[in-house]
Amino acid sequence: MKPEDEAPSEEELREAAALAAALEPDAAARKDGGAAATPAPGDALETASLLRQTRTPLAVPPAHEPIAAAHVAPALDARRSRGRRRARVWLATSLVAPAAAAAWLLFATTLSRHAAPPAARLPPRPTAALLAAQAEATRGGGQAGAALAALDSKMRAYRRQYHEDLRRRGGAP
Amino acid sequence: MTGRCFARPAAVLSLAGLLALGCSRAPVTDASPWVAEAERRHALADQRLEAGDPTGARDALRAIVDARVPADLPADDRRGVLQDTYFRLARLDLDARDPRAALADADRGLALGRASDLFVANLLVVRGAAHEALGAGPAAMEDYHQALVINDRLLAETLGEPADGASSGPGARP
Repeated sequence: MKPEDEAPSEEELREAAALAAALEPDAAARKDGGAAATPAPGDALETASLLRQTRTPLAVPPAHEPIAAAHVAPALDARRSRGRRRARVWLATSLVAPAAAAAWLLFATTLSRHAAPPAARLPPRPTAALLAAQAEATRGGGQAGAALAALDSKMRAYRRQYHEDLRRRGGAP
Repeated sequence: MTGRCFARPAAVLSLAGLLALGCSRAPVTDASPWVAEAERRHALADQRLEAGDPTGARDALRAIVDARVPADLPADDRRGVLQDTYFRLARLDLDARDPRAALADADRGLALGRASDLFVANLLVVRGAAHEALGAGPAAMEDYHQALVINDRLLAETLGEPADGASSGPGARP
């Protein structure tokens, strides 16, 4: 390929003129004053033909319109039904996917809410002194108040141990 | 296209609903703060009693049974904490010479559940004392007897001896 600033060669000028003549034969004839023009190369004619086709809109003669419509109608219908089907798939996907996720979430939430709480561990074993105070309180009678006070006093240490045990577990199994 | 125009807002709405549902999930509750609060209130009740303020002690304990119990706390743990609190409330009632209130508090505690453990035995003891104060001797004897049966079982377990017909653990149900 030649650089752009270099003058075109004779051959290039001839090809350009042939292309121009193929595109606009009237203008070429006027320019040459009716003289016989240089025969255009094959590829120039093909290019010109393509360019002319792109410039002119496709025109169907009125008599051929029903035939063309009959040919085109099924393709258009198929295209329309494809579009409708795609829209339906869109709609179904965008509704079904979130709905399925919502249903699963609802199910999982309900399941976790109704799940049985974790099983408790056994409370710490009471000491013999605490149990002795409790047994004393079951005697009742005139000393019931004092025995209950002694039981309550002994319960303090056990209560602390019990609460500490519960906290250490954090309510978790 | 109409379908696509409708599908996108529908998808957005569905996702918004999904997010709302996700946010509506109940937060996981933790039982530790409730237990810590019960522990703190028992300590406060001890302080109030030492200061000669049984009303303050009662208020501190009443707050435990009135508070909302976390749902994820094991039932027996919840029962243990609440029954122990009702035992103390009933004892305060007896000290205040109000055996009817003591009976009511002991009944509330026992209504939470029965097990062969220390808390149930304590409630039976204090209810026996309330019956006794009300002149209901047979009811008092029955409660004292039931408490003694549990006490005997617990003592056997503590000392490592099998009690007659006893279950294996301190929390075993009768």
